[in-house]
Amino acid sequence: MSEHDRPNNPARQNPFDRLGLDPSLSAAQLTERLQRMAERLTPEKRDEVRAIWRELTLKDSERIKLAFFAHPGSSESIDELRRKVAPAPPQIAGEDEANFEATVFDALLEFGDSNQPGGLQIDESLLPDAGFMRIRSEGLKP
Amino acid sequence: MKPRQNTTLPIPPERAPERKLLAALRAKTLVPTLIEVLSRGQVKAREDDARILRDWIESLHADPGWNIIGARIEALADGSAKRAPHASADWTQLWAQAVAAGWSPRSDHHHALLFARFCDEALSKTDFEHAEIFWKESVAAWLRVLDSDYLDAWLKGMGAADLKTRRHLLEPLIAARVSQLRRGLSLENAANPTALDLPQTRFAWQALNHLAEQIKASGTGEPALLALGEEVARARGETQADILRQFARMIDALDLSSPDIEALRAPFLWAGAIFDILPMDAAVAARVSDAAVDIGWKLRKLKPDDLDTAMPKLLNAARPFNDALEAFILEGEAFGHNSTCADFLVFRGEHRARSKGRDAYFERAIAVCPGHRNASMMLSYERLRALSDLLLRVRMVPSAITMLPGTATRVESAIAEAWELLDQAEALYPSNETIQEYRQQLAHEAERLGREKSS
Repeated sequence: MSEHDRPNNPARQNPFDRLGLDPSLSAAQLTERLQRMAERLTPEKRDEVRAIWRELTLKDSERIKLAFFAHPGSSESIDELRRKVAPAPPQIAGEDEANFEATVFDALLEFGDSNQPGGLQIDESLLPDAGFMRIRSEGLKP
Repeated sequence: MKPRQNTTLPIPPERAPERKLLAALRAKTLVPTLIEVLSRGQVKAREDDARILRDWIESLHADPGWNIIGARIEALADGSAKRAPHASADWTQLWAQAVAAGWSPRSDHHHALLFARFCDEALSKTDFEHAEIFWKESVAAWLRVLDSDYLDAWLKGMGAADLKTRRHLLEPLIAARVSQLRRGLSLENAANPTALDLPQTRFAWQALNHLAEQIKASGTGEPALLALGEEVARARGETQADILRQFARMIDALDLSSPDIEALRAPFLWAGAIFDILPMDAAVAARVSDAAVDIGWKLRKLKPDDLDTAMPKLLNAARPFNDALEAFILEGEAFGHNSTCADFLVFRGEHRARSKGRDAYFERAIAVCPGHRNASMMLSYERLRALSDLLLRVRMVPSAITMLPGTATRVESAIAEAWELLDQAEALYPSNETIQEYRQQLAHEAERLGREKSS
């Protein structure tokens, strides 16, 4: 098997998958996306993208075939998605501020297994679950 | 034709960026685990898999199949379950249960592509066992995808609802296998056109066969699948034609002026190795048998010193093809090649080391080609040879012995058998010059033993 035929050779990968392109994009949309992409690339990589652009836009039937053999759905990078997510509104001081200082219940959870001899023996009201329930109902205390 | 399932749209509504980001983060942990588990530990996720397969993770979570495997996968992904999940004996069963519970066509679209990729990766390591499992999983997933209205909606979403596009859509599914088949057979290797990679050839051929059988068994009416089935048949036919063309080139290149038996056998051994994998039809059987017979006649004419050792070697190399041709003729599936087939059988009979059983070849030759001159003549001589053996025994019987009880019957049946052999020899080849001589000898012995021919 030649290097080109090896499955891990990126050149063998479906171009939609390889470049993170949504397979449902039209030829015009692909041109626009690839053009934008190429602007940020080195000349060699740009040539690669140009070859893919030709492959995807020269014949509609070929683009559709390649699209069907790409994994469905868009696959933008996580960074791109992060950019799209609106930043969280700044919090007003004092509003819904959780205080994560340790409480007695956290300390209890740190102890050894109560089922083992020598482990901390606690009654039902102090079981970790009961502690969590209390934290939930009473909120964390300073 | 089976009714198709109605499914949800293949292109789900656009999700909020926050949800997309969450799904992306979830894919980062689940995709490597899923790839490892689904590939039975054979494939490691690539760096960009979590990005490419994000949609898969989202789709899986909404499917009933996820209720079967989800807990196991999540536990493996967060490290709370033991690794090496592929080693767990129940994974195959669990996956089958998940398939039965149901994957959406969109998830199966991902599965079909993923298993095809696993298959390619297994093949790159010449791991044919796993490659076969993954190919079959991929084919099964494609058939599930196309047993729904998923493709209708997908094509509509792509603005490509015409039949032509649909019929050609699945061609890439077989491209790698067809190319593997042709590579295995060196059909595009001008430098070494007779080199064979039989394991690759076998895998590719069987993979295409499996696909064609599954399409047929599905009873699908989906034009994309029906066209793919036709494409598989076309690719197989084209490959077979190319093999025969290569065989013809090899035969043409043989130098019969100074025959080297190993060189003469090479095209037949080459074809034999291939058609041990590919099915042999009447055309192939006839073409190869015809070439062997042609070389056989030329060798007989040239009379090389080693003819008696060379011919059996040649015939042995081409034997599977002529045996197949004989069966095709007798089953009424091959016409016009009777004489070639009979010639081959006559050669085999002639060059059989032991005389016992030689007549069976000539009988077979006459069965495929009634009235075949050489077969009839050879069988006529075989009958006379048997008669001669019988006469030798009869001559040793004293005439007085026929007076003993029981002996007369045995002598009588031996004489009757001898007349029968003589009649057969005459009927097969009336111009056999020795018949008259044998008739006289037999008549003499019959008279001596008091058993003249009654009719």
